Amino acid sequence: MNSILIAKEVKNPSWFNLILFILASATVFAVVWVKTKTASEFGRDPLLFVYTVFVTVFQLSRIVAAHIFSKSGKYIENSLTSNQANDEYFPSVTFVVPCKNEEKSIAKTVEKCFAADYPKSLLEVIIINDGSTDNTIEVLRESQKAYPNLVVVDWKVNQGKRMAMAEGFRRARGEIIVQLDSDSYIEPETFYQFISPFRHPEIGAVCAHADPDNADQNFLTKIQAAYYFLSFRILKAAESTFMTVFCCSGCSSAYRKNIVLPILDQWLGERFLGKPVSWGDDRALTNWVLRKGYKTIYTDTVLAKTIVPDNLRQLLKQQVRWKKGWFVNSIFASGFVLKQYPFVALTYFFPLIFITIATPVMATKALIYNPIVKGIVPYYYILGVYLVSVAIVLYYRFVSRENKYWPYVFIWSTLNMFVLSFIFYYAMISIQNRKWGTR
Amino acid sequence: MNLDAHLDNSKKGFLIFAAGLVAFVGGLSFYFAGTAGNKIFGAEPVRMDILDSGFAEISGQGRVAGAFSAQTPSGEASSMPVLVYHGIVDKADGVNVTKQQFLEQMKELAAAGWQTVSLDDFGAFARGDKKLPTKSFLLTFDDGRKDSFYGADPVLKLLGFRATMFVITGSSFNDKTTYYLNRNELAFMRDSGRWDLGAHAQVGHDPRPIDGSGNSGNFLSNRIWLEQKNRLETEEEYHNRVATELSGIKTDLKNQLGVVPAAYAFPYGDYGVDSKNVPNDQNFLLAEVAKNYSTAFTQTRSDTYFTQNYPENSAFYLAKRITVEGNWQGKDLLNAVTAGIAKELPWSEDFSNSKDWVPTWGNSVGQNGVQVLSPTASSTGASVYLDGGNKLSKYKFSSLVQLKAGQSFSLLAAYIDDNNYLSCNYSSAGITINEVTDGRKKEVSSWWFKFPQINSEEISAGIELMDGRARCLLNGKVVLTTDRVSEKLIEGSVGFKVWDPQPDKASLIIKKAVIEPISE
Repeated sequence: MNSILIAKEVKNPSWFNLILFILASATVFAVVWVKTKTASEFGRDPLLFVYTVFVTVFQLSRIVAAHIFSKSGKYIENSLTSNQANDEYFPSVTFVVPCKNEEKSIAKTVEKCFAADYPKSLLEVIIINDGSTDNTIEVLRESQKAYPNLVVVDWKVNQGKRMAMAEGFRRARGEIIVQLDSDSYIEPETFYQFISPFRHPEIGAVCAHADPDNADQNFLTKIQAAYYFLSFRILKAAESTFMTVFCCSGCSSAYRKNIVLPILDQWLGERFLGKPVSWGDDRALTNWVLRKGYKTIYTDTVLAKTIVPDNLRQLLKQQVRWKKGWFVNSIFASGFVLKQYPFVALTYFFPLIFITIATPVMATKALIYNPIVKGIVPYYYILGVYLVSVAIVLYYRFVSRENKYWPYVFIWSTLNMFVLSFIFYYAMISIQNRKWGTR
Repeated sequence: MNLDAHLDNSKKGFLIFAAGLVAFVGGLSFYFAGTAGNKIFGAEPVRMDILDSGFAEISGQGRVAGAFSAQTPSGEASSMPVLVYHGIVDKADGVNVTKQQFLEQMKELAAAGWQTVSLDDFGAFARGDKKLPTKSFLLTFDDGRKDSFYGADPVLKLLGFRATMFVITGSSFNDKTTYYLNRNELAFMRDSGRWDLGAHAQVGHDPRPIDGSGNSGNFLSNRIWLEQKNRLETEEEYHNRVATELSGIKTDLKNQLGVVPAAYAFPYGDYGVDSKNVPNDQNFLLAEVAKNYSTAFTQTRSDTYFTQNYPENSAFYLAKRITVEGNWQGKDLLNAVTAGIAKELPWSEDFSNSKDWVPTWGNSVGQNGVQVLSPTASSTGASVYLDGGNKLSKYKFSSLVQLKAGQSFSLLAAYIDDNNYLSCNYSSAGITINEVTDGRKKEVSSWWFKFPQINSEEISAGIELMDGRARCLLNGKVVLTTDRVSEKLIEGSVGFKVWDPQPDKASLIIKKAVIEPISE
């Protein structure tokens, strides 16, 4: 239990890796081919060309960073002093779970918390019942009989997720706080890896790997299973390579309490354009940890499960919320990121902002304006998007051969190209609508 | 030890990896973009932006071809003009037309009711297999130049026109060319529905040395000088080279584009007539062309007379083309295509526009509703013939003329070319009928009398042509007759000629010309 393994070892048969390598080379070759074909279009549409080259390089660089991720676990281990490395490390842990109207699932969540493979005496669970109107509180009272370390905070009036989380943090007795969504849980046998990185004093927050618990429910949840995998195992892993994960996901992340407590008031008081910010609480909290100079990492050895939207309307609402949260927090963070993390700022943070803003414009130009006005069919644009998807899928298969949702990456790419990238602009327009738009 | 030290390793790794990726991608792109890439992935794609913007520029000026056609053609064409361009340039260069000129020219034709035909339709028309409406013409371009395509295509699209491009396959398919159309562009043209592709050359477009002292001649019509062997090629070598060139163009177009060209255009229009060292091999050259192509094209030359093409019942057709000059405006082109339309009788000319009269000698100038024939500074006379009259027979050609200066004037009939025609020659000494065949002049009949009025009065002169007979008329009366006329001179056009032994002196004013049919 002493080692800090934050990346799973890849155990593919060598023939499989060889095939992936050959395909990956072919893909890069094809990407270059497409770009040279479009190079002659440079004269027609220089902006679009520069943009697509930039995006492609950026996306491939994410795969590169995600690949180096496997090394960063060793770095943490190597940088421990011999005392830190040899001591048994079992800090007290508090789960903080805000919930509202979760009578059906909350008992299971509590059960899973206490099932963690960790000394039970060191575990505490705090559930904040944030103004539920159903029988959540009765269910919780029942659970309390079985788990004496379950603390229930019962609010008759809903105060919002941020307030509930803050309440949990303040009441927590554990050194490490594990923050969960009310419908999320952590696979008990992987739990120790969640706590283990905190052995190193510079680590401020750890984000678990989350997969949808209802992945097989329908087509849409399968797509999201693919999306979760690549957004965690590729995008967050890439961020984690430089130990600057910008969003330790709200569904399952762990924080060091003595870092979080001093910043709670600032976190709670954040306002954007005169109004309190009701979404992106997790991203905001992670940013505060980074701002204080601590490392934030992702680990693929801790497996969390969460429930994802099972219909398009809820998925779109969630996406709008996330994009609003991403945008507001990116503005908040841009100053300190540039100052404190210049490397990450220039290779990732600002390019991403640029791409997110430019993509809908460029997609509109390539997919709508050019075909209609100039009669240019966007073959190369679409081909370029899918080739990058192929590159992502190949890496996906490399790191997790057993994950069966990889074909849905292509569907996600399609959805993203035609719908989701445009949602960013809708999110911007409706930025003053601070409603949660709950699932 | 803190984590930042380790992070530096990650950053280094990332940068090295990313730099490697960029170098790989960049290097590969650089390689692909070069000649190697051209070989592997084919030529540059069609510049749709140029076509799009070219079309956008002109489409505001009326989109539908019908909007330009003032008249709908009716009836069947008995002859057809073919135009040839070589390039369409941005700035006038004295040789080629500019984009704006080309647009104006095509709009002028469209407005007058002219329509293009496909290369296949032209071929069928020329062999008499298909009737086409009047005011049909074939539009062609030689050399397969990019500027022709990019300049013309938007105009064709605008007007619903079609054109033929004669390709130099050796230039289009082998080089990474920026001047000639490449494979992709030709494929686009093939699929556009606006273009037909024909053969122009494989490697034989440009002249070659024909002796050791630096003289050169056209590739197909000469035995060329073999530099390494220091001798002229043998007849057999010459024949093989011609055969290889002519079939090679066809093979190239078939292999590269799946197009089997039906037509061939002679470089410089030289179908053997400009040969310097194999003057007797013209038939060989035409036969060799006919083996591969059913239609061949030449272009305006001093030895071509009538501008339009008449159907012939033969498997192989050699068509004439009108070379469009760089200084022509829309009106000039319209004149050029209408001048050669087959004349229908009765026909009369008031000389408000003299476009139908083609000078072959001296000057012919229209002024104040009359036509004036006069020599150039160095010549002793001048002559014109009527375009579109080459198929006329059994007619009376009468005119009102005044010999302002000079010894004599003539009315021409059965005019085939400057070497074959009949003439009534009027001078102060009398009237003679002359017959010119194969360049040899023969006086067949004459009436000598004192005719001093010829230098002071308006003369009503005429010539009649019937099967094997000709008559000269003066003031409406037959004054000279002959039935000893060459069988060759049964049909042909009409013309005028003026002459004086002294250079730069003769002058004939033509006020009226009428052709009426006659029957025996």
